[in-house]
Amino acid sequence: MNKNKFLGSMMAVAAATVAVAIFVMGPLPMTGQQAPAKGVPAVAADKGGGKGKDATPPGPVPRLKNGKPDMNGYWGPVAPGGNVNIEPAQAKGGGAPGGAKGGGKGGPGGAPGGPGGAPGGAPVAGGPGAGKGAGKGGPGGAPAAVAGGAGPGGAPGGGAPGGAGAAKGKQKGVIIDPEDARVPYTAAARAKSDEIIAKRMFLEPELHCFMSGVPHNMWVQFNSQIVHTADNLVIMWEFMHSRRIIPTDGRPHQFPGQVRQFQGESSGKWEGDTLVVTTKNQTDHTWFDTSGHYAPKDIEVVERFTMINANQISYEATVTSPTELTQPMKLSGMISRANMNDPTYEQMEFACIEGNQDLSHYTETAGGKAKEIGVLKQ
Amino acid sequence: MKTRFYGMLTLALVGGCAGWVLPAPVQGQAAAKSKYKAPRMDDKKTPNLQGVWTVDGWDTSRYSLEWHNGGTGIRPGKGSITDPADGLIPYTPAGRQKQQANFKARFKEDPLGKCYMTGVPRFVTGGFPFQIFQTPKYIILASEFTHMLRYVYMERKEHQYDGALDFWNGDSLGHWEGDTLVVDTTANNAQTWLDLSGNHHSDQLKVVERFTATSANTMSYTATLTDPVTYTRPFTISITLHKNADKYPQLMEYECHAYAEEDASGQ
Repeated sequence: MNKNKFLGSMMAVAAATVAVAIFVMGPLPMTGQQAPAKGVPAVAADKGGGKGKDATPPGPVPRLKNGKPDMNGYWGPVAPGGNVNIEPAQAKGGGAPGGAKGGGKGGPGGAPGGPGGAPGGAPVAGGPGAGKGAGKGGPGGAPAAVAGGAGPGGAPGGGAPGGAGAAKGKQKGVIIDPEDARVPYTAAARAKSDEIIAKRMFLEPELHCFMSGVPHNMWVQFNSQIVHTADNLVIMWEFMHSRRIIPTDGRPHQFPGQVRQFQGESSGKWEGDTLVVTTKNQTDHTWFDTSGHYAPKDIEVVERFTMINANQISYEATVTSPTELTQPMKLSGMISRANMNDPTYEQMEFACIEGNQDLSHYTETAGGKAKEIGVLKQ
Repeated sequence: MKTRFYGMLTLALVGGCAGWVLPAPVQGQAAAKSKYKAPRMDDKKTPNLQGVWTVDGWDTSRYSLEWHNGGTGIRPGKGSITDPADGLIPYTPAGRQKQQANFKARFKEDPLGKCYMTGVPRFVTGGFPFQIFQTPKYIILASEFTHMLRYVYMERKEHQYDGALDFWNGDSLGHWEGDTLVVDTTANNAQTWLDLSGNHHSDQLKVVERFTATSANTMSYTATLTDPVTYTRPFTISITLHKNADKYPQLMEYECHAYAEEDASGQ
C-alpha cells in the first residue's frame, strides 16, 4: 500500500511538516494505540504522570526459553525522545521552532484525537520531542487513549512520553549529559549544524526515505515491532519499514572503516539482563533528529536495553565521536509496550521510496542545483 | 540508479554473488522427497530455517523465470519453471504482449531499477540475500534490498485485505506442512515484476511458496503463481536456496535509493 503518495506531496515543505503529515494519515490503524486504554494496564500513563489510578501493575519480565528477557512485541518510541528536536526548544538557530514548541505540548495534545480518529494536529507530532513536553508528556497518555480511541492523537504524544525522565521530574529531553541537554558538538561541528539548519534542511534524511540511523531510529514517530530470537533482536519500525538487526552473540565487529551502513554494524551482548549493543560504521547521511542536528560519521553508540517489567524497557545510550563531539553524549528514556489493547494488531506496509516524488525533485528537476550544492554532502 | 543496479548485476555475472562462495546448485530439487531433518527450534518441534539465504550465481531466474535467450543485462538460461513442462509462463495472449513490451522497456520501467519493493516471489528469486527470523507467531523475511521486510503471520488464519488494500509485498500467512513452511500470499499490487525480463502479473496474483530445508546449508524453494487475469493456468517455479555459512553471517544494506542520490549529486 502506498501511504506515501500522500506523504510525498507534503515532503518538500520542511522537516517538521513530515511529522505533522504522518499524523494526518491517522485513519490508518498504526497510530494512536500505544497509550493504554481502559481495561488494560496503564503503565505508561502511570509512570509518566503518576495519575493512573486504575492502573494495574505490569507483570514480571517475560523470558525467552534461554532465560533472557523476552522483548517480543510492539513498542513505542524511546521517550522522552528527540525526533522533532533532540535539543531543548530554545536551542540557538533551531530549524523547526514550530516542531519544538509542539513538543512542549505533546502530551495534552493527545486528547483532541477524538473518537472520530481526527488528527490530533501539530502539537501531537511533537510528543516525543525534547523540550518542556517531555517532562509533562505522561498526563497526555490517558486522555488520548480514552477520548481518542484508535485515533491518531494518542500516538507519540500520549503514553510513551511518561518515561524515566518524567518520573525523575527533571529530565527535559533524551539527552541527560551534558547538563544543558544539547549535543556536545565541537565549535566547528556546531557551526556545521547551524548551517544545515539555516540553509540545508532539504538534507533531512527522512525526506529521502533514508533509515534514521542509531540512535535516532529509536525515537521515530511510529511504533516498532521487535522480533526477538535466541540469536538476534530485530527491531522493525512501521515507518519506512526501517529495521535494525542486532545479533546478540557478542560477535566482533567486522566492517572495515570504509564500509558504512545507515544502521551501522551492531553487535549485542548480554550483561545479566541488560542487552548492551555497540554500533559502529554508520553513514554520514543521518541526523539525531529531524531538525538539523546531524550525526557525525564516526560516532560509536553503546546502547543498554534493560527490561524492567513486562511492559517497559529502560533505554540508555552513550554516543561518542572523537572528532566532532567534545564529550560523550548520554541519553536516557523509556520504551513502553504498545498496542496492548488490540491483540490482533499488525504493522502495515509503509512504502516510502515508492511514493516519494521528492527524489526527482532533489536530484533532477532542481536543474542541476542538486549537483552544485551536493544533495547529500553534510 | 539504473547504472548502479545493472552494475551490480554485472558483478553477479562475473563473480557469482559477490562474496557468496557457494557450491553449484541442483535445480528443481523435489522438496517433498528430502530426507534431511532440519534442526529444530527450542520447542524441539518446529524446523529451524533461520539464517541468511540467497539464490546463487548459477540461478538465472532473476533474469527471467522462463527459459530465455541472453540479452543486454540478461544471462541466458532455463529459469526456474518446473510446471508447465515447457518452462514458459502460461500467459494469455494479452499477458504475453505486455511482457514483450515490458522487456523492451526494461531499462526504464523495471520497478527494481526504480528501487521499488520487489513483490513476491521476486523477494526471494531476485538475487538479493534475505534473512529468516522465526518466532511461533511470526516469521520475518528481511531482504538486503532496500531494507524490505515480509511479515509471515503463523497464527492468523484469514487473509484480511483482499479486494480492499494491496501491498508491494502482499499479505502473507504461513503454516507448517510437516517440515515444509508454506506461505500463502495475496493482496499483491499490480506494480511489481517477476524478474528483469518484464514478466508480470495483475493484482489478482496469489502465490503459494514452500520452503523446505534439504541440507544444513540448502533449502528447496517452490512457488506456485495463480492469476486468472494474466495466466491461463497456474505455474510453478523451483529453486535451491543457499545459506551463508560464515561464522558471523551478516545481512547488509543495499540502499538503492540512496545510491541513486549519491550518483545524481556527483558523490
